[in-house]
Amino acid sequence: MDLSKRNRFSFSEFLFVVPALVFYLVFVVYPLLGGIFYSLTDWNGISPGFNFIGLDNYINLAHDEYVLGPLWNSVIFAFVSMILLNVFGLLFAVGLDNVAGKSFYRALFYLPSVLGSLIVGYIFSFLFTVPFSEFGKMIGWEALANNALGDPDLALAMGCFVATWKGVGWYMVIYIAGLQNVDRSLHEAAIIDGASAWKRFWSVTFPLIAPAFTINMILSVERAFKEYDLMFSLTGGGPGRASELLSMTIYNESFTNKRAGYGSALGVILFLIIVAVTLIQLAMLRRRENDIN
Amino acid sequence: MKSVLKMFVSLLVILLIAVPVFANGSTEGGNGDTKTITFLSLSTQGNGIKAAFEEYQKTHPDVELDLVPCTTVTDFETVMTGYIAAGTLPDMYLTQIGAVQQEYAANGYVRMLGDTGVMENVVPGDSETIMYNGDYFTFPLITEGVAITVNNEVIKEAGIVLDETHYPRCFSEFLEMLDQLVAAGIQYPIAIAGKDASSVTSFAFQYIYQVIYGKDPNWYANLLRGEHTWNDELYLDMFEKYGQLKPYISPNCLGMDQNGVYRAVISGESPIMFGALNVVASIRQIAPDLDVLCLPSCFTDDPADQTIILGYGDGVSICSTTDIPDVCIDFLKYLASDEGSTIYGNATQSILATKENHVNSDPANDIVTYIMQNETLPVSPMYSRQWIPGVKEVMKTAQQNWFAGADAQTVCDEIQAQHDRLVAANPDWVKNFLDTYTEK
Repeated sequence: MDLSKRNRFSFSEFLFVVPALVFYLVFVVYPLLGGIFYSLTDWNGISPGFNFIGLDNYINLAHDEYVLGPLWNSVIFAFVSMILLNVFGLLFAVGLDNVAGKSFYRALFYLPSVLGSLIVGYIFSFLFTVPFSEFGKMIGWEALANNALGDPDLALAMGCFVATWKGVGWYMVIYIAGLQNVDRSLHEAAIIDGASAWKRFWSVTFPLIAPAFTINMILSVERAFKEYDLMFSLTGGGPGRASELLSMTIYNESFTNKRAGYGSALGVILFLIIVAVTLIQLAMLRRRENDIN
Repeated sequence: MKSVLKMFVSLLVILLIAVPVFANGSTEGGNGDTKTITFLSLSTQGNGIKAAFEEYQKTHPDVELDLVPCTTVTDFETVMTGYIAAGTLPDMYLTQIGAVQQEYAANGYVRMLGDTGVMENVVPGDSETIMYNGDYFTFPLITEGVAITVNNEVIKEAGIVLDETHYPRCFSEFLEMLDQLVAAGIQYPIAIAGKDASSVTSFAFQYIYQVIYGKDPNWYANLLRGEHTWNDELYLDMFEKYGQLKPYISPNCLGMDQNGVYRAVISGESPIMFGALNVVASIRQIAPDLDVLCLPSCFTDDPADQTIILGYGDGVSICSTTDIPDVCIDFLKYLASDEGSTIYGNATQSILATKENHVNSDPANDIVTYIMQNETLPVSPMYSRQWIPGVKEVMKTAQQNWFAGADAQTVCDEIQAQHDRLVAANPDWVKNFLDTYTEK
């Protein structure tokens, strides 16, 4: 093996990676390190100076009710969104697989995914205020009639509903890609063996789309934990703090309450939560994939 | 040969990406004489700055404006935090005058304006809000107030006459007006955006300025000293009054945003809203010819105690780090002049804080302007602009919880707890506030 030649090629390939690497270092690694740095300070976001306070911010947030409520909301939002997005994403992918005009329906279901979260939030804010409210009055459902976004018991649930409406098309596309890799002959063999439609899905299709399932499960949770703009435009975190997510608390602490150091600590914690949840999911789902194989 | 080509292509790709990324962001013209003012502004006032600058540029063709709009005050402060962290401030900015701007001055981010001569064209007002260490850190362009805004067409249809001498003078008269509207078929006369911090807290703040400060002019300072609390009788009474208004507010208000309020007011579904005087400009964008009127707050029990709530609104500051201080001062002088402020005022439909201007005042402000000019009511300043950062968010959460059914005592206890949290997190701010506080 000619190592010098190989290294030369590797260097050329590395050069191609350099632009992306520079962007990654400047826009991801540098802010991340900056966030960790400021999380160890009492910077208020205004003064040029600050004091290093060690881990005080982290110790304080462990028993700060102002933070724990939104953290719990984020966990609920992530868990419910993950289930809804994957159940309906898979349902649409499978359901539209053999339907006439499936390309049209796929495009229709995918369309909300290309809309900005803020736009979707404001559209649904209007829908809940006027048409849904009128509909609620018509059918006598008081919670809907009085605007479900203003109900502390329903606001977070409505956020999950809108997030699902917006995102389900994207997850559907990933499942469609997975379905296209399923060998049709396996289905034909199962039909000959007399397997029911459910049996064919559960024993043939579902195991074979495991990689798509892994990707969707991980991304749906990661995105839900980072969600900000949709809930901001939909409920603003209210009523009270009923639908406030941790990402919104980070913003409020950093910029409204002028506690940039504390807000940075919250950001680091959110980052660690996402990393931990992703690693756990990866380990579990990869093991499942290996078991299937 | 192939590998050389590959190397060449990869280097070319890097160069193509690197050039725009690391290119000099300067907007100087080809001859290098053009000077650009980077101007961070609240978007509601951006049109005024732009209109005034266009006229200014006719005599100063070598100056360009790079206007950076921010939707809300919080957005503005967020962007400023980014600038501060990056160590590159804009040349000038325009935002709501308040405690945070004072902190910018305290940290040396703004150039003091005392020596520029522009302050001579400011109407008298609560100068404490625009000063730091004996000098001015901002030029107040507009006079802002909080008031009751009404769709006068609907009010007239209900047989109610409002003009410079006829408007509700106290809380009971306001309730009478609401009852008349209900009798005329308006089920919920008051529109409140439960989702919007300004709207949902507007009544509370107006009550504080007018009623609570009427009883103790040093209320917030005394609260910080521990002589008052958010859950004592003085503040609890606010909820008693607000509770009397609840039957006149739509039960779906908690899910409504500010656009919903504009829709309700303009359509006449709920013709009354609480808010800053500048909401008229937003209403005008949707319904230019609507008969709208702003009324002074009327939440005292005794008509003799009524005040009008006014103060300096948005101010223009020059950052200390600007490379073109002379250009910025020159443009500020133009904004402060009769011509510049008139253009600005007409574009934003604001009540200006400049002594000399010829703004075509919006008829919605007729009553307020009459009261200001004839001094028929004493002025209550807008003290909340000097409060600890984060108070408004605490108030918003509390008001929403109260609308959602929590009792007043629980809500006030929560405000007290959250306020204590803010105070504990910002001891320097509290110390500085009390050290520099002037007793009223």
